Amino acid sequence: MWDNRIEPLSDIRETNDKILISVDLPFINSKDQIEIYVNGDLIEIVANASRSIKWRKGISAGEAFETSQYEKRVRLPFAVSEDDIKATFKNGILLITVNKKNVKKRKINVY
Amino acid sequence: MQEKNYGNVTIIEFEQIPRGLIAVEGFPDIGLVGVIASSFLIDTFNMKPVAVIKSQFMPPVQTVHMGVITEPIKIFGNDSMLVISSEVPIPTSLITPIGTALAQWLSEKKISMLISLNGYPSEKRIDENEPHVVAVANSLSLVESLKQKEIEVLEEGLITGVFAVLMNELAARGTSAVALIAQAFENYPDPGAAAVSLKALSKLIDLKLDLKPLLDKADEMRLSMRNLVQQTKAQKQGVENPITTMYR
Repeated sequence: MWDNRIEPLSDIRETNDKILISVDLPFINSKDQIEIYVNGDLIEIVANASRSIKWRKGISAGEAFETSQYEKRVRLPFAVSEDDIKATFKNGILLITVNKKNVKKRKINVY
Repeated sequence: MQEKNYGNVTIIEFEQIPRGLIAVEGFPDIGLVGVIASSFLIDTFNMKPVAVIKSQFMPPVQTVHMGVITEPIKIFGNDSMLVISSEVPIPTSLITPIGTALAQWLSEKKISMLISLNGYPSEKRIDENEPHVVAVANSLSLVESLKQKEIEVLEEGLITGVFAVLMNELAARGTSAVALIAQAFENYPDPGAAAVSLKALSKLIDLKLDLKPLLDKADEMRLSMRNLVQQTKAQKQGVENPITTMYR
C-alpha cells in the first residue's frame, strides 16, 4: 500500500528478450483510467477506479480506508526509455512489455 | 451431528443428507475458478452448510463471518445438490488424504456424480473474452456423454490437485466424476473463467443458471479474493501446474 492507495496484484516474468509485467485492475474499465510513468529503471503505474473501494490495511484486519486509486512501482534491473515499453489493457489486465533488445551486454574480464 | 473419521481427515455432518445428489467441488486452484463458481451456486440456490471437513494437519485457521468463527472447508447442500468448497488453500500434504476421505464419504452418500470446477493457466487468457473449457471424466462412457453434450474433452494431459485424487478414488468406487477446466488467469481471481465453467456445468446437467449476477459482481470478487489467490499461488509453488505440458 502507498498511503491510501491499493497496490494491485501483479506478476513479473522474464524471457530472453522481454520483461512482461501484468497488473490486475478491478473497476478499471478503460485504458484512459491508467497512467504509466518511466524514470530510469523505475516504472510507476497509477490507475483511477470507476468507483471508490472500501479497503482494509493488512491481510485480515487493520485500519479501514476508502480509495479509488491503485499504485504499483516496479524496479527493473536496468534503465529503460519509453520507446522500450509497450502497454495494453485487455479484460481487466494491464500488460506491460519491456523490450530488452536495447540493453547492452558488458563484457567482464576474468583475472 | 455425526462424525466420521477417514484416517487424518474427519467429516462432521450436521444435517441429514439425501442419497443420489449431484456433488460439485470447487477447492482453491488456478484463477480461483472453483471457489468463485461454487460460491455463486451456494448463493443462487440458497444452500446451507450441511457438513465440515477437518484435519489436525490443517493450518490453525478459522474463517470469521459476521463475528463468528467457522471451519474453512465446508459442504453446502439442498435437496438436489452438494457443493464442497474451501476458503483456504489445501496444503499439499493433505491433497491426497482429503481427496480420498471425500471420495469415500461421497460414495457412502451415493451421489449420482461429482463435477469438479477448475482452471488451467493460460497466457492467452488475456485475449479471450469467452475463455475455453475442456473436460475430463473418470470413465469412457462419461467421455461419450460429454461429447454428446458438445463439451470438449481433453484427450491427453495431466491433472493435479484434490480433484485428480477425487476422480481417481471415485472411479475405484464406481462413482462418476467429471472435471470442467476453464482457461484462466494464473495469478488473479478470474470470475470470467468461473462463468464459463458454470455454463459448461449447466450444459452437462441441464441446470438453468443466470450468470449475469456473477458477472456484475466480477470486479468486487477480484478485489475480495486477492488474499486467497496469493495464498493459493504460494501453496502451489513447487507443484506442477495442471494440464500445461500436454495440453493440445
